[in-house]
Amino acid sequence: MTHCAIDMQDVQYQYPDGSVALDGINLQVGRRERAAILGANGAGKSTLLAVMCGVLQPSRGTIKILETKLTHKTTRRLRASVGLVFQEPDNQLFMPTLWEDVAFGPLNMGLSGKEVESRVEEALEVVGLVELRDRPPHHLSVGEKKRAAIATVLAMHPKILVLDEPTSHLDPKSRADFIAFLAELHAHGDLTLITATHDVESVPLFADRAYVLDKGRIVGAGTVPEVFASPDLLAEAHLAPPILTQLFQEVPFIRERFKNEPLPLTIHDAATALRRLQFGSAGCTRQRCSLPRIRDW
Amino acid sequence: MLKELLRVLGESLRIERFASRKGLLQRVDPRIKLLSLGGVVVVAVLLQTLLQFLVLLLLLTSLAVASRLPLGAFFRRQAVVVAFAAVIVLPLPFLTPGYALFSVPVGPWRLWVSFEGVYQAVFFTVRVWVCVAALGLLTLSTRFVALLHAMQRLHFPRLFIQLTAITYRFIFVFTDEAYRMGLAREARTVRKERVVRLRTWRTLSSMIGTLFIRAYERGEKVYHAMLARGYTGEFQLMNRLHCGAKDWSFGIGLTLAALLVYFAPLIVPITSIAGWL
Repeated sequence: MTHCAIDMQDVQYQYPDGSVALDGINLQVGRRERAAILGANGAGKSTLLAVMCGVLQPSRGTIKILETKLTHKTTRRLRASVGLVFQEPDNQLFMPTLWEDVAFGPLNMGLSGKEVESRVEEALEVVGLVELRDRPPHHLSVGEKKRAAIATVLAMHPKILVLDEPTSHLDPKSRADFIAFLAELHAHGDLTLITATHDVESVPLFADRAYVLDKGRIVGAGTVPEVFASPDLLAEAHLAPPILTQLFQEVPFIRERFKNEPLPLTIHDAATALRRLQFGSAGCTRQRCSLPRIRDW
Repeated sequence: MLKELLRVLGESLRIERFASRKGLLQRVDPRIKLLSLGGVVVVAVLLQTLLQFLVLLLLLTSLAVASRLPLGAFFRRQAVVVAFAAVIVLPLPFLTPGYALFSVPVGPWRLWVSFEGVYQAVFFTVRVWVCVAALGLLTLSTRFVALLHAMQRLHFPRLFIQLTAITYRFIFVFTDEAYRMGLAREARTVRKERVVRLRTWRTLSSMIGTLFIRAYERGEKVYHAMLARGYTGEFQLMNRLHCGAKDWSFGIGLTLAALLVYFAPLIVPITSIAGWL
């Protein structure tokens, strides 16, 4: 791949106690790609992200970020281009107010006061939290904290946004909002999105490619429909396809009909597929004929 | 007891509310406030008579009124520390040699309470009270960030500011955590709890241990989050403070008042009553 945002070759990471958390990780994510790292609890997702961003040092292997090798010398510079958003926003928001927190990264980059202020404004604007700028983080709701955590990273103008379990602890509305927000962010910017999650329902909405992580190894990779079409692989990694896909697999006559095409992954796909089932094939001609008749009335 | 502690902390959470009221102290630059109220603390440490303490306390209370701070909250916050100080000096009346006031029977013995001991205990407690009142005035009337900015501008050690900022931020996260752990424990406690039961204390100690481990782990994660955003050991804050003639005149005024209290016994001839006070 010529334009690699992240390129990991044979990366291994050992915890200080000697246990191997990541083993032989090979992973390439292209620029502007949306990739998901799927893994069950304890599969090593968070560790993988931390190693990927240069926060933890791998014990073996090479990592390239935007075609620059991650070394002691380049780590600091590269950290600015990779924005890592932690799963638990309370770990990410450590300053007394939201404003200070968002300003933390830009100030570390040595930007001028004016530039810092405009970046903070902009980042808060993007996540829609301008009014809460002077709030201490413990006065924010979980959804607001999640967005705040993203703002702290966006203010550094990263090229790659790395999110750890972005949809966890969110209620359905906040989750939908958050996914829409990510889509918009990706559509309007020159961003590469990497998401680690086990929220299989949301994956089709914010990723095009998926990597399956199990016990510190990548056991499968491909486009999201490809990965979700292999139930055995997912089961082995303690995962499952989205519930709609399972439904389509479960009902025999639907499964028969979808033998040669991908099963739907989202509500939208499923609705389209069902409509096709209803109107598109022979069993539904009666329905189709009845429609003009109703119009005749 | 845990709940009580959390209640006090919860109250301190709401103190920022008073910092946005339109009062005297809220208008003063935080640096000036920090310095002049710090000066009051220094004077309080050096004072020699009880009367001076009372004058200083009166001065601080009137400042609280002028800053529209509710006196209830103002005194309640001091009460915790003052009570703590009083407990610390509890043995003093029994241990200090001097004029015996009365005795307390303890089994076959009698413990004598000396006048000097009582005097010293009261003296210490009041001294602590004045210091805490001055600092309480500072924290109640100033937003926490402003205080950090002030410390940075006054060239406090960087590490000190970082620790203060992070402690302040995470103290609430940990009290939440402790509260949840307390709830979880209570949900599984069937027998009536007794203070004397060994098991109660064992549970408490293991809870504290768990909390320490969690704090340690969280610390590691926060550090990673800081690294990911380019932390190199420097901790920078944007400064948006400015200080004018009004601020200076307040600072000088308060410092002069404190000094006046300190030197008053030299200027005003002391009456016989005030002498031992």
